[in-house]
Amino acid sequence: MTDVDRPISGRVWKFGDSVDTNQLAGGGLQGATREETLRINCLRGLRPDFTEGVGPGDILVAGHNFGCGSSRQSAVEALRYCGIAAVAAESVARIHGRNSIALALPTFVAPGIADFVEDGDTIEIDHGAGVVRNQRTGGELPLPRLPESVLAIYRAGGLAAVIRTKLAAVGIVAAN
Amino acid sequence: MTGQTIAEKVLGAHSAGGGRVRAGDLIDARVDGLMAINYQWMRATYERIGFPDGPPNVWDPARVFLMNEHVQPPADLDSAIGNYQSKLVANRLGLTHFYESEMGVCHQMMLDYGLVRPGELVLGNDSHTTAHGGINALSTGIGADETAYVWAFGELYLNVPETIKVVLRGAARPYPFGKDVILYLAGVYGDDFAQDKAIEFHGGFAAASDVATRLCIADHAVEVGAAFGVFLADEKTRAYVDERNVERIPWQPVAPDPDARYSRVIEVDCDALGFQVARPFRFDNVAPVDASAGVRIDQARIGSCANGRFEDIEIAARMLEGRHVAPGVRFYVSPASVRVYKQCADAGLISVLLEAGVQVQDPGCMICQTPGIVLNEETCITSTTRNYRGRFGGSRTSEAQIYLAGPATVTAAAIAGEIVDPTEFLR
Repeated sequence: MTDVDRPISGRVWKFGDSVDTNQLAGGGLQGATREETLRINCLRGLRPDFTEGVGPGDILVAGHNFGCGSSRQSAVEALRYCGIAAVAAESVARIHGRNSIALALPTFVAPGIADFVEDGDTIEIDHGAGVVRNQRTGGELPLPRLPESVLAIYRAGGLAAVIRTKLAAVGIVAAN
Repeated sequence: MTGQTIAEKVLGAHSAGGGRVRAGDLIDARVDGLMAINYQWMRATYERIGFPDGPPNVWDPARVFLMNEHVQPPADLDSAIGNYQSKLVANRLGLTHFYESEMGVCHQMMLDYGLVRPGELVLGNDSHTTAHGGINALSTGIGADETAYVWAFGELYLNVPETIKVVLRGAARPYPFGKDVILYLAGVYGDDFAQDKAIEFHGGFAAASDVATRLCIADHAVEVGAAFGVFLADEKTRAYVDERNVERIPWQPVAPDPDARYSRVIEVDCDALGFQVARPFRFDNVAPVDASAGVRIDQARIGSCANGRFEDIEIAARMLEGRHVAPGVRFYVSPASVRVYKQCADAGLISVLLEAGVQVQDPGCMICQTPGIVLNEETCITSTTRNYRGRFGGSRTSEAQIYLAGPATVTAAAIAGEIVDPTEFLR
């Protein structure tokens, strides 16, 4: 069982269309560590109350083209450092979507999600059942299934772990 | 059997599974080259999987191109350490193409050093890797962990995308106009109209335009969501590539079949277009320049993988000859590479810029990032790649106004002190 295989339930932080990677990981304030810098700047420019309010297990819901912009993987890391457990968006920009898979942050394209939830709702993303449930409204939204090859990366814990395993399999590095 | 698009042909030829591929297929693609920039971004990847000294292998030391170009010279300890470690890695693995301390934009360096050619499949850890579509290569951006994967195995899973055919009708312009064309497309069709798709650029304007214009448009394909943005190859492509392909590596251009299947066809009459400006803070918040006329500016920028080429700087110099940057305006110009810088210097352009009050900056990607912060009270017009909130200063400058435009419009604004139609300055 990995994160994408079990239902993920949490409080929703809702954003609009075309949230770009400069908003996710654009710097600005200097934290004590790289992690701290990414955490305190994440989405602050769009929504100043996000940094202090967001907590472990929360879910980010966005409109179209989430994560557009640069290829920076730190955009995914920043969300994780904020405690975000999953992302559900109308659509996800190509590179950010791939980076989310690579770092195994559960990220779903869920058409209709923007109208399905309001900021502050609690939702349950149940990929296994192919549905998102809204606790407040009792509504259910169909959730498209991720391809098996993508699920395999999630289940491995991310692409880096796949690299390690594959290098060991061909004998370039020791198995452990 | 219907015909194939450029993306289907190139990806089919590079599919590890072999055989003909179709839009919608998910394949393991074997790449021709990997552009890996800024090793410090990949360090954490290797540390996470137990390789603190970096990658234990390289798929092909002649086809992984390692460049420390985003931060030259390194301004902080982390970057300096990253550059140092990259040298150890490059030496240990015997990389043929390693650029430790060269200033420049990676995509232009790829072109300048002949590391990418028409018909090739190239990946790189920068979103604007799509730029090489301007010379008929299929190339796109990936993240750091994916880069580590390609570094190790020379392949990566890719979707075979549907293709949008964009027919650009009209004549070439005697000044850079690529930015205006792609901004117009974004303004009309939205900043994700090509999400996960390829775009083929066809038509008279595409054929008549110079390679710099094509590179600008292909570079910005990512700004409308595209995985690839690719032009056909012609004699101009051949001349551009062969002049730089010093290793004389053979290449074959790729054209679509006449009966290739497109998900959408978009036609643009470029002759009917005026100068375009994207207003804060989205690439698709576009209107003709007149809609922004009169907006006072504090800063102007020309440079980047989009508009840092000789043609972009030449138009700025031509417009500034006998003129001066407006009082109170900071105008930064950064050539895209050392080769471009030298070309500009040899043509006397740098002297013109300096006499006009331009701050000429080193080549590199910093022109598109935070140095030269635009404060919340200020306004900038730039021909770099993006006008997102905080692009030039981070989360504390999220109200700084950033307008995007082509180099002629940027230069006119720098002269006038406010956004203005550049037409009169071009006479």
